[in-house]
Amino acid sequence: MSAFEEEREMMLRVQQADFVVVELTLYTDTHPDDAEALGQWREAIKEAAHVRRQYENRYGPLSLASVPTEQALEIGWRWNSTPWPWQR
Amino acid sequence: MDRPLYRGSYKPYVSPLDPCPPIRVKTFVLPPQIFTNFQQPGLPQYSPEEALRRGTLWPLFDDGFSREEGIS
Amino acid sequence: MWVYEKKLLYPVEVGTCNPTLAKYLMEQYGGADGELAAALRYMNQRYTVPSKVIGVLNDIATEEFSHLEMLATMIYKLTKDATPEQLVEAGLGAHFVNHGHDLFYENANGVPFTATYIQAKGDPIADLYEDIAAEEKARATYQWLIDVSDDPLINDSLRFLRERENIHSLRFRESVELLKDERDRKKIF
Repeated sequence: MSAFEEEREMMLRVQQADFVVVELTLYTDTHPDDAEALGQWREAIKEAAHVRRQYENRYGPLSLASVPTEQALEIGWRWNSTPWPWQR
Repeated sequence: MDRPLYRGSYKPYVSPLDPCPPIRVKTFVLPPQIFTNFQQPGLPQYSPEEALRRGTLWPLFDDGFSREEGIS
Repeated sequence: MWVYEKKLLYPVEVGTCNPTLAKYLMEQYGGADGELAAALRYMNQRYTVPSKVIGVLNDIATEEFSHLEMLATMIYKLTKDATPEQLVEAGLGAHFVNHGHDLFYENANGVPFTATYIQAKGDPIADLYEDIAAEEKARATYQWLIDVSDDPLINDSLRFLRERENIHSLRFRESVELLKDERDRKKIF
């Protein structure tokens, strides 16, 4: 797998985990008393945070809610680094 | 996702003077959400991979759409 | 406030340089039933709706901005390296003269976005029924876009976006039901 494909694969994992959170958030907005769904929603947020950390450790923060590592800054990663999502 | 459940059809009037070749049966979409005003708890779910691909976590609300269906 | 996430909601891929398809997609970028109209409509209604349904409006409005970004990505890629001649041939000559390779909030006919595409009636049922209608109209628009597009990769993203309209419509329908539960039964004989 090329470096480009590897990044895409890890990004896809983040997108999948985040999408479950999006879906369950909307569901719990209209079903605030569904205890089972609320439990799944919490787990989905944990899983999304976990997958995101794996991605960010390798490719740098996806948002400024994550702390950039010193190594990332040393090797030249910047928030403003290309590619932006629409350029990939 | 049993697609025929979410489609309707009708036979439009065909005039002998219609200039385009007539379409005898027209189909249209009856999307899943119009049959449920409130989602039941505990519905079967897709895996996260499948959910992103389909655009929803719940197969019950996934009616798909393709140009091959010929709906227009 | 909002914090930007450097990722797309869904992995958008574009098969070929196709400015004609980009022109059609502008209907969902800056058209009456497009993603910008949806985002602004819900974001504006959320302030004054009953508390029970604020979350739905807030969260769907936020998601619509991520859909807008997906549309922008498709339009950007479909026109990125197109020559002026290709743009003219695609019916984007007038767009190019005014905007160059920039995107713009306009519909497939080049009509600029206007706030008159959205409503705010101060009546939660009137507003939610408009929102349901908006989702069904956006779903229909995605269907016709899929019908005119022969790029399977673009159609993959369009199918995802169409399905999201189903779910949003469902959540707005549920919001109406939640408000019906608020009925003051004491006053009903």
